[in-house]
Amino acid sequence: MTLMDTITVAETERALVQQLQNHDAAAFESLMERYAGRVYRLAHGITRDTMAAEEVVQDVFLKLFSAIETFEGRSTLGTWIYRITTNVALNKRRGKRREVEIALEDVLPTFKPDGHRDGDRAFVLADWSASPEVQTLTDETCRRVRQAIDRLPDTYRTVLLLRDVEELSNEETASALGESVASVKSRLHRARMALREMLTRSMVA
Amino acid sequence: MTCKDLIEILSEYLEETLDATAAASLEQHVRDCPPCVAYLRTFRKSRQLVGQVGQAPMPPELKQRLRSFLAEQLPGSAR
Repeated sequence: MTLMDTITVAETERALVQQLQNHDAAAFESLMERYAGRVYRLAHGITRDTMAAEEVVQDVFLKLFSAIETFEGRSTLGTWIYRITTNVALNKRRGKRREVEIALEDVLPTFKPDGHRDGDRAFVLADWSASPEVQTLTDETCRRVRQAIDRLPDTYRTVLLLRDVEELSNEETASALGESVASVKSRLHRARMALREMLTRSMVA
Repeated sequence: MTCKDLIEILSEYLEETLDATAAASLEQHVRDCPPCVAYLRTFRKSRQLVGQVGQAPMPPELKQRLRSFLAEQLPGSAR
């Protein structure tokens, strides 16, 4: 994105926020068109439940409409919406998480004292990245990936979804979660390592 | 660079935010280490799979229900 593009996006967003604060019906429609799909996708990623995701979308838009007057533009509108969505979806998921989550330490790679990876040779050399099932993205592969994502603890899963599904930057993710960039980077990397480990275990089993 | 060192900086390498010296050391290590080749490929593919599988399109009827819901809840603003 060029500097001019960035300026144009910022100006368009500022105008949209102003219209929303003036209760402009077309602006609300535009906000829904632009963000409802993204809010749903993140809500579904966090709750893993279609009905819960729908409730989250409704709650998020109610909150957006009631809180838009307090939006001061310290973050972008998109980041603000992601922050609200994350909070609402995590609240909705609470109570369910212990059923499926694993301890992250159990699925991180382990190493020998000399720095080589621990584990039997077949596992250490397992490369499933070009297997036909993975290349064609079979239903079974999708199920394995979803299951692995679902087993990540919430704090890691949320970072993974914001970065690798929503494609936010580290800075935007940090802003959406109210955390430091260093913390986002660290959790993202651990989440990716855990995910790779779980997928490898399931692919070579 | 050990395998452990390499794995610690893999996200930065794939995002091209690693400095040139560290990137060159990593690439040198990968050339001589089959387990790290496998790790690098599967790590990269895992990340791609999350992006692909995480795409949950919003059902069109949900959008319509959301519109109706907001029109009820927010008279005068979302109609």
